Amino acid sequence: MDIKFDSISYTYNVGTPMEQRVLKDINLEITENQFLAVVGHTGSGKSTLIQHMNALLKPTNGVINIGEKKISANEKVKNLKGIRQKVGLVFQFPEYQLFEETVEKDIMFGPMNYDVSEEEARKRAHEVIKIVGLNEDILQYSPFNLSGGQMRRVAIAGILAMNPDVLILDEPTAGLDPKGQKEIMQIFENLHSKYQKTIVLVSHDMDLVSEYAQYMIVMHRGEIKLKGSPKEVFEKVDLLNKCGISLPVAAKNYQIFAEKFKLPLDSLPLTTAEFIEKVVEVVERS
Amino acid sequence: MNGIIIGQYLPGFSFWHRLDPRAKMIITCIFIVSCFLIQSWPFILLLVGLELLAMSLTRIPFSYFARSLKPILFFIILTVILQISFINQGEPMFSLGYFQITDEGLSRGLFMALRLVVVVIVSTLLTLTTKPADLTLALESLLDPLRKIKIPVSELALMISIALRFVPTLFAETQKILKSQASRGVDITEGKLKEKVVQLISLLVPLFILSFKRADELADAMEVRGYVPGKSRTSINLLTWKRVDSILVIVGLIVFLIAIIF
Amino acid sequence: MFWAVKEMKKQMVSLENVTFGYEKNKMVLQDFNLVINKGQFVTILGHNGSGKSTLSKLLVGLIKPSSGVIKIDEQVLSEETLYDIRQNIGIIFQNPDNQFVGSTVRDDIAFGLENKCVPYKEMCRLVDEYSALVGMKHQLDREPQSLSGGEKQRVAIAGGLALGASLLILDEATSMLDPKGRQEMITLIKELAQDRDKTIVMITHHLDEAVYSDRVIVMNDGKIILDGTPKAVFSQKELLESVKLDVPFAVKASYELEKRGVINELCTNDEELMSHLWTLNLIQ
Repeated sequence: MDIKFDSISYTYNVGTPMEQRVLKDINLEITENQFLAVVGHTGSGKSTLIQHMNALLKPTNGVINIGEKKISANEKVKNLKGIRQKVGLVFQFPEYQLFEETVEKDIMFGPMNYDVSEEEARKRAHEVIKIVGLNEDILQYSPFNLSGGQMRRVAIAGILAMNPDVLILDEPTAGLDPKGQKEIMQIFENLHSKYQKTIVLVSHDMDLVSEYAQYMIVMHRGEIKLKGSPKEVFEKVDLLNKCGISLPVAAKNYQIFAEKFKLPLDSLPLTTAEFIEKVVEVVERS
Repeated sequence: MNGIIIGQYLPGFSFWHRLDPRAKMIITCIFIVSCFLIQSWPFILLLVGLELLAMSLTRIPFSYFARSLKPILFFIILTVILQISFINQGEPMFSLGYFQITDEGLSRGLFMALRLVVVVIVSTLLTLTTKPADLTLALESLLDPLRKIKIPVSELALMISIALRFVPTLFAETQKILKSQASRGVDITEGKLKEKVVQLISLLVPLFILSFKRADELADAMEVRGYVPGKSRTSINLLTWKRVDSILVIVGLIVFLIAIIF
Repeated sequence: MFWAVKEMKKQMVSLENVTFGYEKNKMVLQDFNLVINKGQFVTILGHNGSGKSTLSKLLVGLIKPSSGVIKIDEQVLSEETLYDIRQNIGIIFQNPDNQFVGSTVRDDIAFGLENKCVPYKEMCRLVDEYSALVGMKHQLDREPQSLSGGEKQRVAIAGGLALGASLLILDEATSMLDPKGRQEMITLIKELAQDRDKTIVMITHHLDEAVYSDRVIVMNDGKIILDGTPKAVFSQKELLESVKLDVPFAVKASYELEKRGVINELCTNDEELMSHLWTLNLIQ
């Protein structure tokens, strides 16, 4: 299922003194089974953008095509609920949306809102709990007796249980320790490669983005300033700087190194290993 | 939250904005009480005149004040109709079968309506020009004598100011939870009663839990910063009473006296 | 002439055989011992659940150990001394919103001072001084909902400093901030650490924050498993990975580069790595 943005603009509080244009002329195509990263400083419009992807927000201008469904500014759209089943959105700190008596019931909540039978919903709960790396016993616990990391996985499971084709993740690693971050990203990588889901990752962590994303967009003041693979995007050092985006740590260090010795700044290393290889190469050349 | 004027603060530096909030509070109360004591047209019109004067001193467009009447427009009209229907003294002006409008009835009706307008406008005058935090300070200062009868005035004032400070935060959180649950298929436009209850729970439980967590953490932070309920504290916010404020209160008292006498 | 002046290092924080558990049979800390001297800038690293947050709550007396003695500035922490000791500690918690009490920046910085009954003029002076120190000088009338997370945390630091705290505890204070906010905080903390009268204890799981401190302590399962300079601690790559922590980029890179003979020393932070690389004679 593809998602296509055609000249999308979004303005808050239209017609009031607090009117604010948050998205300007966005053109973007998210193809099936892509792993896309959306980056941008706080206030660049990332949140607003992703909320258009599951129809929580309707554009004030332009047309969005989510699979077969078309959402345009002027027309009234029906059955937005259906879109939200196909495009799952996991907000930042999703553990705060848990409310049921047991983990199982909470995970079943999503699918049952879509007329999935109780039996089927329960079956799904047992499946997704394993996908997020938790034990089936946890299904009978109260979600509020779990650790923060566990609660987060339960919340993600709740969205997975609806069986969406696209999964949007808003800062999924916020507040987690290094190991927790690795484990959670592994879940998404798995969903992408094994379960063929389309993943949209919003993150402030450029190292995470360079490691997992195939494609990325950089937002700045409501516009998309850069598009491309991480390798392509992270080369545009000056533009990234203007957009308030830093480089992955390996690239940042190599940039300083290269500037000192007046080396060309093409194909910056994105990982530690690449950095080492490049430095060794430079040393051996001289 | 948009469009409702009552309770909203509009920043400004007008004469009225800069008055001591206690003075404003006192005359607002005096005005409201006087309003209901006054029985004759000349004096209610005096109140209206004073109000118009005050409104001009706020440098806020009259349209804002007009908008504050929108929510109670229904009650104003209802009041007029009720008065007209039940007062039958005086010269009839218009009749339709049993129903008749007398000049007395119309006069009374409009008088009552005007009272409502005066009350709403004077309250709006207060809230449009005074920050909620300043209102709390004023309240704390005015009710201070109640401490002598063991009422925890400053603790209550702190509770109110903390509650006010978190209103925008709570509002944002509510929005976020609603969106999260909408992303899980909650549709407030559909669902039978049973489902609506679950929808409500899916909003309230997270909100409560967030709020309790907040209260816990805030209490810890306050305790570590040396807050002890009941212990006396100084304040960084000083309300300074100026001569202008005294004049204002005196004007208010004069109005009150007029209201009682006439 | 030989005149040795022995500088007696004052102990700012001391935990002696401290045991604590939230539940009866599950101890978070057992016979825990730690001494932090005055003026030190210490980072405590550990994964979520290692006991590091419990440590900060114990230090400010929000929780009481079941056994052992805690001393702050050489004064034993007890029911009686709690109030006074707390005036010497500024603690900044993880959630910027849940510790911001005031209706404005000014109100929040002044909160602790008001509790201490500081006179009005003095409060105004302190609020002005410390809001400037943290970079919030002309923002005293701003309300919390318009502040970023980083700004709120800096206001929290100002509040602690205004009270005259000589011990600053940062309990995962950057965990909920965006990169910009984190950077502001780290810059401010590095500045404050230069003041040898201030003792700073930073609890975090972000390694890149630990590289600037004098001393790094790594906790796991309620025990200290590593304690030393950043260099000494980060050279223990395998041990760190075994307790769910990672090592900073500079350590990983310099480790490999050292193996390949490019540089000859393990570096703990980016600046150090760069200065080593710059000394290379690279002919172009």
